[in-house]
Amino acid sequence: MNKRTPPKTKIELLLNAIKSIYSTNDKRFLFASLLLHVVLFSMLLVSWQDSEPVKLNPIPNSVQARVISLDELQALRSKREAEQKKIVDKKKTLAKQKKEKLRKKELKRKKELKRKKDLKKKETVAKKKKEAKRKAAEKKKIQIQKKEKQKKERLKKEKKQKEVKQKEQERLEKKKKEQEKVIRKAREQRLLDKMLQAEVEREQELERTLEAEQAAKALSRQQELALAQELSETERYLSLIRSRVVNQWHIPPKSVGLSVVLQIRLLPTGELSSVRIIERSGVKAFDQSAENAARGVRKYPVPEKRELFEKQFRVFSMRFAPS
Amino acid sequence: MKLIIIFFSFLLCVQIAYAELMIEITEGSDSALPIAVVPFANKGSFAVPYDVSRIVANDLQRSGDFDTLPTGKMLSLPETFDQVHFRDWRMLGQNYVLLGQLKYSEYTKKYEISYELIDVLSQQRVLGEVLSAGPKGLRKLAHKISDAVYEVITGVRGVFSTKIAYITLKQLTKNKREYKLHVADADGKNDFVLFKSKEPMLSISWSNDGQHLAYQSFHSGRPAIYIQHIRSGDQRKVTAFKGLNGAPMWSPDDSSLVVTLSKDDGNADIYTLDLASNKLNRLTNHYGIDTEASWSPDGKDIVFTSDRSGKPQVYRMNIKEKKPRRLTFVGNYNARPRFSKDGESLYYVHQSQGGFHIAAINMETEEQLVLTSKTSLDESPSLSPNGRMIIYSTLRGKNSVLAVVSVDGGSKYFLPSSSGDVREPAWSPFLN
Repeated sequence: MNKRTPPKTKIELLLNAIKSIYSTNDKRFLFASLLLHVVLFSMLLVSWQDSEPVKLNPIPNSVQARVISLDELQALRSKREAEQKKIVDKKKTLAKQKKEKLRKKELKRKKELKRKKDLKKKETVAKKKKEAKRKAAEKKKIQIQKKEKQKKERLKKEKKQKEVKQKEQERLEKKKKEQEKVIRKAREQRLLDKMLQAEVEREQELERTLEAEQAAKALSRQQELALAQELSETERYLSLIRSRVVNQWHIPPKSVGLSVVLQIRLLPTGELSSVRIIERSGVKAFDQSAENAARGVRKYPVPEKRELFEKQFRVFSMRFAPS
Repeated sequence: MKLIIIFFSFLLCVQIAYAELMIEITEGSDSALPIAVVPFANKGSFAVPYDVSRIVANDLQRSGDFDTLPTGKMLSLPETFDQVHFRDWRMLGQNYVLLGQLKYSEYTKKYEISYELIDVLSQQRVLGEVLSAGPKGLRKLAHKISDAVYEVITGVRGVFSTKIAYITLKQLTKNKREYKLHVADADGKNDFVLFKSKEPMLSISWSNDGQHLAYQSFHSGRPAIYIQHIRSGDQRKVTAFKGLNGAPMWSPDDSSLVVTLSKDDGNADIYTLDLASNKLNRLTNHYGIDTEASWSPDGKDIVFTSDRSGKPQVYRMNIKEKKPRRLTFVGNYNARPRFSKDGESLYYVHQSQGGFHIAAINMETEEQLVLTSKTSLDESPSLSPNGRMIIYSTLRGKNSVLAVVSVDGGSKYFLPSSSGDVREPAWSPFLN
């Protein structure tokens, strides 16, 4: 016989339901039931707040009837309908609010999702950027390494080229030097030949000069004699004396512009009796050179005629003034 | 009063007499003055390291103004004035006789030399001195005697105690060369190396106090001008500008150098460099090459080589006015001018008949005289301090050698070459 179980309350039922849900392995039911309860609780809360408290009229022990008119009935019905409509509207409002809340929640969720998505996207972008940066740095590093390598290669190449160039230059210089050497040798040989030729020519010239000088001397002597014959006796001896003195005068350097006058005293044989400076130049060496020139003539050419000698050549003067 | 009238009448008579018989002598002999340098008698028991009288005779002979009598031709070898037989020397055609004695003193460790110069024609002693020197100073003492003899006879100071500087080039190996800057006595003896380098050296110039040399050297790899103190050897680089740095020449007061630089526009121009402030003053500014400048004796003008007319020619310019005037017109090549000591002549390298010779031009008459027609490739003339001789380098055989010619071209001699090529000679000023 079935034992009659006492009627369960709503809470008990709910707890049982919860238990059953918890006992199951499928967590989806748990979430669904939780969600359902939340919804129901919310609705209940809303209806609790908005509904007017139910007025419990005491149950009359007797039935009281009252006759109402049709209008009243109609009004009552309208009122009831209005109340029902109000309840329905409330319910609708609640549903709408619920829907709105859900929408808002969904919107929030979506927003959160979007935010997360954006964050993720941002992170991805940042990551990408970082990666790109890393890659760029890596690339740059590679490029630098490449450049360095290229530079090294270039330097190596340049060095090699330089070496080649230097070698080429050295070769050219060597060649040039060799050429110069050959040219120089040739030039030296030419010079040597020229010098030898010049030496030979010089000797020949010297011989010719000597011959010419001898001839000229002979001619000069003849001319001198001829001239002397033409000149007066005095002029002739003056010319001869001048010639002898000129041969004895060694003019010191830097004497142009100087002048010295000597007085010469001779013996009738033409020998020098004395020489005296009567007008000095101011330069001792110059005066001395003139005096030595006068003394250097061993025997002065003098006329044999005693009268002329005494008159002109016993004492006379000589001015030494190089031009 | 009567006496005065008689005196003046006498003078007038004398003057009239002179006027009647006055022989004008305007020329002289072309030959050198004959002189006999008798070997100096050694009166001691110690040998003499140098033949002093031989050094003196060589000095006088090299000057070109004297003709020394060989010892073998002497009839006697007098040691004192009293022993001179004038008739013998006169017969030998000698105007002067130089004789002397020397003796070593163990006490002073020095040689005492007494010498006398005798005028044969006047039969008088014209010079006599007693000198002393250690064995190492005998050469110097001999040159001193030469200077004294030269001066008393010619009236011009001798240059036998002066120095010369020059550069030698020696080929050590096939690709290795050595350049040396030498300083030696004027006869080329007693030389020492002041500086040596593997790179070329050029253009030596003596300071007028005889203490320093300025020259161009490539020692640092580039041309630069250096100044070196001779006694201490201290060297100082004075210019090392971009391009040319060369041809230095001391000013007469030693305060500045005239140099050739190409620092501004790559073209060689002439500047003065003040040695105290290192300030440069540009003297020439021409697209032609201006170089090898040297000073006039008064320091107001310079002469230099320029190819502004197309060929190298010599120009003169006042350093304030800076207006160059061409001086040489004969020949296609006239370069490296140097003034005579009196500023009346100019000596330079002249090209003629395919050769390079030393020539002189009279600044007044502009008359040109070629002094070295017998040698070729003559370079770098440098005047002796008495203005009587010019030292230059010339080609002899395969090598460059130093040669000396008198300013009138009358005499010439070569200096012995110690090694290799000898070039760029520079004659010092008087050193004492």
